[in-house]
Amino acid sequence: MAKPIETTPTLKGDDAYNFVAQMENGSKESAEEKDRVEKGASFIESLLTFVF
Amino acid sequence: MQLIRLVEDYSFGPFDCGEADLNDFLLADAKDYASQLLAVTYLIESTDGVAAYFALSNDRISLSDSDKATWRRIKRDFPHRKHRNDYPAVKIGRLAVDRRYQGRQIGTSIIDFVKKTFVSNNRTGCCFITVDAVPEAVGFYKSNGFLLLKSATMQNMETVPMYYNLRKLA
Repeated sequence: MAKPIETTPTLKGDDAYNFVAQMENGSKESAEEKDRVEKGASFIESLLTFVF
Repeated sequence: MQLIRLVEDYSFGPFDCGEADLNDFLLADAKDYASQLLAVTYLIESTDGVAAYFALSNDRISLSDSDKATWRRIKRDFPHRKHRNDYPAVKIGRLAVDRRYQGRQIGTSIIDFVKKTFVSNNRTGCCFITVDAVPEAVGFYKSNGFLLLKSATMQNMETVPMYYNLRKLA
């Protein structure tokens, strides 16, 4: 049997602080990266046999 | 190729991604997760079997409510924002590509699809993608913009919790 899928463990201490700091200081993806994501997603969307 | 949702009566063709846990999940556990409403598995099917699959479930990123010292640091250093102690997320419980299809960017395209879906077609509210990456896959997820959730050394860790902030794409 495979390892179970579990919910993400609760963050404490430095892990919690670093998570908030990364959220606060994170920048938006560049236009190039957004375009790349769009193209990758479009490939998978082209394979869809149902409304996701 | 086509993308289908795994259903109870699906008959698996050959699948081998090179990782026993990922093969076992698909072939032995994925249907049980679906029937128990714990995770939904999606298959990219080719004429010669499953080319790739991914499983999604609901998740959250939580900050311990009882860790008062950390909350004081957060409120001191980031006083301008109303902080939450949990955030809704979608977990990529599994993602694997069959050996025959590796090296074609299918894994990255799947992640791109999940990102786009939960940014542009977000039905319930979800601001992060989470994953428990096996150590060998940490580089792959980093290259797709994921960050580590825990700072502890990766040595002796079976999986490494990571996340992607969907607000970066919004």
